[in-house]
Order: sequence, then structure tokens, then C-alpha cells
Amino acid sequence: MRTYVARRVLMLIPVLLGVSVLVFLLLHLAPGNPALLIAGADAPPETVARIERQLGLDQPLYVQYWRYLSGVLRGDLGRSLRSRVPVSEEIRRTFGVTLQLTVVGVTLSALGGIPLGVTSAVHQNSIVDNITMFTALLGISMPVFAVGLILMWVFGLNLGWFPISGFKPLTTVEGWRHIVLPAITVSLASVATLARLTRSSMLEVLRQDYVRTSRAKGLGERKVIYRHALKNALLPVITVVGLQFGYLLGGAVVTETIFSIPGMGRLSVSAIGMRDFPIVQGTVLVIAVVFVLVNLLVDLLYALIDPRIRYK
Amino acid sequence: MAADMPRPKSGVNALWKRLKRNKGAVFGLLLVLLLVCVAVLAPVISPYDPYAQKVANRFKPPSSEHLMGTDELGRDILSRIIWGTRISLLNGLVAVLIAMTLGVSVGLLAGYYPALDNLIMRVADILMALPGILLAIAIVAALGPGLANVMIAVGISSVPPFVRITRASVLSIREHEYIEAARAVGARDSQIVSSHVLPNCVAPILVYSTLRLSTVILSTAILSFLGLGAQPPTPEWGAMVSIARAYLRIAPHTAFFPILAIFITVLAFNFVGDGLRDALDPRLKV
Repeated sequence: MRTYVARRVLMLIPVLLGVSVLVFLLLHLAPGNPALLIAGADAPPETVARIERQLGLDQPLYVQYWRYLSGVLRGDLGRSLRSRVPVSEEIRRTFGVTLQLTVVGVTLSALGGIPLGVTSAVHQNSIVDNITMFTALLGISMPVFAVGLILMWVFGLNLGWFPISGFKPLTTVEGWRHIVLPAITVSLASVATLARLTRSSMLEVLRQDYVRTSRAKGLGERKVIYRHALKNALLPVITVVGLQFGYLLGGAVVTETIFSIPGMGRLSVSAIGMRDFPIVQGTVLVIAVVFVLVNLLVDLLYALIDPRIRYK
Repeated sequence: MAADMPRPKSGVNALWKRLKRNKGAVFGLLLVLLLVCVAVLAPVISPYDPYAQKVANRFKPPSSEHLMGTDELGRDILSRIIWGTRISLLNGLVAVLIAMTLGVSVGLLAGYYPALDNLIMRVADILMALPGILLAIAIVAALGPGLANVMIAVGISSVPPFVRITRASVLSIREHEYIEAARAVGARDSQIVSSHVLPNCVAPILVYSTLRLSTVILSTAILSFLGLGAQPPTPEWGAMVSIARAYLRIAPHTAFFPILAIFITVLAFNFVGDGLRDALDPRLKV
């Protein structure tokens, strides 16, 4: 197990370096002079020159990248072009909010999706199964913003059960009331995805010989399903829960915009509108790193549960 | 549909046979056909000019005159939805074609030349280290907002899965004896790839393209909703919802109909994609 962990952690380095190159190049993907783009087409040449100097755009590309990377490694993500506040500070202020929303969302999708999938598989082709799978297909066909607006309209504007904007820390009751609608919004598609996946994984396992054996030796159906089948069916599901974490981080960008939640997603969207590149780069980098780390954790967990993985 | 086509390759033919038996897929296919008709016939069937404003007539609820009501500038929502069908389908198609062309070429290289495989797959890993929609957002951030840039961004962010699927098919095809035979009679690599390898990966690529269409249409709508894609007054569904959001309290119908349009379109492609996937291989999961 130790060698496996070491190998996986080492494999992380090229991926993270690659992500940093990608994020660095974002600024240079843009056609034309990035400084001119940031300053606006009718900016005086002095402003353009200042931005060029500030971003080090007058240096060769590899020098720029090296500077960027060494800055990032020291926790220096540059400064916002508009507010002049260090990007790392803006991210520190908003990261926790996004993380709370995402964690609540992932929990909700696992708690909703997995039992739905198991129930569907156990009662394959029954009415329950058909309804669940049809609803799941509807769920993955809804854009995040549509889910958000519909929930907002029904439960916020009409019924008045939950607040429709803002964020309060989750240590308070108010905090939980605020996060209900955004969390459902961000997790609905994941619930559907996990239900579909759990169902097909479970169906696959239920066909295995060891399930037949445990039935043959007279175990109760409940024990067969929960003790023998579910454990094995959940293996692929765990990986996908990790992937869902990433989708939810992406979905959080939209959800935060809809519900006016002061998180990293809203920060990055408004930064794109203002062409505030350092903020965009910083938020994208942080989300990518979190996503990569979560997937690493999931893979390690997977190896811990299933020893076969370690010896591959 | 199959009757007018030149005789398809056997793999695709078998796929079509199995697809016909799937009720959901046939339903989805009919829906897609309907949407294509709406998109093509937009100038004929749309009752009003989608851009014509009549401010005195704003926020009218659905009526016999305006079946879906009017929006914040008194424009006919039905006409805007009809024209929006064109934009969404075209967008989705272009983005998937971009992703497919790039992804399949790179995937063929990776699968056929082991020397390139490692490098290409590591780059794909890096691109996949970002959640798809975020990668698209990042690319639009760089290119600047606009519908064309959204198509490019969504297309590029969909490349890695195409690379993976193509590569996986090529890897299994490469081991077959007919490839060895082709090589033995002295066929060039380019010949082998184009006439022996590629035709045999068509089925999985086709299935994935359909599944991807729904994702791509969703992503485009999301980016437009965030104000990064189509700009007003373009009748793009995501952009329409984005504006309607401000009037959710007084005129929910202005948001409801574009949402319904996106939903039906994505659902249609999901039905077809699911059906195709089951027809190809019930175990294939991407």
C-alpha cells in the first residue's frame, strides 16, 4: 500500500505542473496583446505599458511561466487588476463558501443517488424502477440554472419556505436554511447520475456467481443484497462520487451566480466579465488542484477497500 | 431514415437494427427530427419577427395571440424559441464536430503509435483535471465572450473523452489479425488506419457523439446564461433565461419556456444516446 500511495502522489506532480501551464497559457490564448485586452481598446499607451510590465509580458514566455510558477508555489497568485487585492486573499475569502456548498451537495447526491439506484436494481423493471430511471433521465437533462430558478420560484418566491439569496455560515440554523435550495440545485444532476450508475453496477453484481452461491446457501435476500452485492457494486460508484465532486465545483459556479452566494464561482464569473485575468487564473487553478486531490483521495480509498488495485 | 442512406457499414447497420427496438430511443429520435424541422423551417413557422419589439405589449402572459407570451421588450417568446432551436442545434453540432475531429485524430495517433501514446494520454489527463464546464469557462475567459468562442471552448473541452474512446477502440483493433495481414501485404500506416482501423471505431464514436451532443447543448446554454455566450438580442435559450431571471417574480413565463425548450432538446438527445449506448454495448460506460 505504501508504494502505491507513493507512486500515486508522484504521478500527481506532472499533472499539477501541466495544469499550471494550462492556466498560465490562458492569458496568452487570447488573440492580440493581453495587456491591450485588459486595459481596453481605447486605453492610453502608458496604461498598456504599465499592465505589460506588471504582468511581465515584456519577458520571453518561459521566463514568464517560471515567474508565475515560482509565485504560485509561494502562494502568490498575483493581484486583482481591478481591486488590487492579492488573488490569494480573494480566494481565501471565498473558498470556504464554495467548499461548504460542494460538500453538502456531494453528500446529498450520495445519500440520494445510491439508495435510489439500489432500489431500482433490486426491483428491476418494476414500476419503481421505471419511474426512478425516467426521473433520473429528466434530472440529467436539466441545466443547473433551470433547476435553480425553478426551485427558487416554487420554494422561495411562492411558498416562501427558504431564502433565495445569500450565504450564512453552516454553524447556524439560518445557514442551513440558506443552503437548502443551492445544495439541491447543485446536486440534482449528480443524484440522477449516481442513481443510474449504482443501478447498472448493482445489476452487474447481482448476476455474479458469488451472489448465486450466497442465495444457494440459504442466506436471506436482504443479507445477499446488502452484505454481498452492495459492497461490490459500490466500488465503481465511489470513483464516480469523486468525479461528481468536480462537476459540482463546476455547477457551483452557476449556482452561486443564481443565489448570490459569495463563493469562488461567482468571483470567477464576475472576474471574466471584467477581464480580471489573475482572478480567473487563480480560481481555475485552485478548483483544478482541489479536483485532482479529491480524485487522488478517492483512488487511494479505492485501493484501500479493494486490494486488487494496489498490485496492478 | 436508413432507407435513403447508402448501405451502412455492418457495425452501424446492426446498431440501427437494435436501436429500432428501443422505445425510448425511437421517441428521442422522433423528437430530434421534430427539432431539426423546427430549426430548418424557422423563417416559415415562426409567427412573429423574433427581434420585433413592442414595449407597450411587454410581459404578456400566454394567449391565443402569443402562445408563449411576450418578454421584457414585448417580443414574441414562441418566435424567439423557434429561432433559438436553430442556434442551439447548430451550436451543438459544430462543437461536437470540433471535438470529434480533434479527438478522433489525436486518439488514432495515440492508439496506433505506442511512442506517442504516453505523451498524448498525459496531456489528456491534464485537460481532464478540470471539470468540463470549468475548462470551457476558462477558455471563454481567454478568448472573450461570444457565441463562436463558446462553440470553440465547449468543443475543445470535449476533446479528451473522444481521444480516450478512439484510443481504446484502436488499441483493441490493432491486435486483430486483419491488421497484421494488411501490414504483411505492405499497406502503409495511413492506408491501414483509414481503411481498416477507422471504420471499425465508427460505432463507439458515433454513440459517444450523440451522448455528447446533449452535454454540449447544456454547456452552451449554461455559458450563455452566465453571459459568456450569445449576447442580447440574440434569441439563444440560455441568454433568454439569463434575462428572464431578473423578472422571475413578475413574469415567470419568460423563463419557463426557454427552460422547457432546453430541457426537451437535451432530453431528446439523451434518449437517443442512451438507446445507442445500450444497442452498442450495455456495459459501455463513458
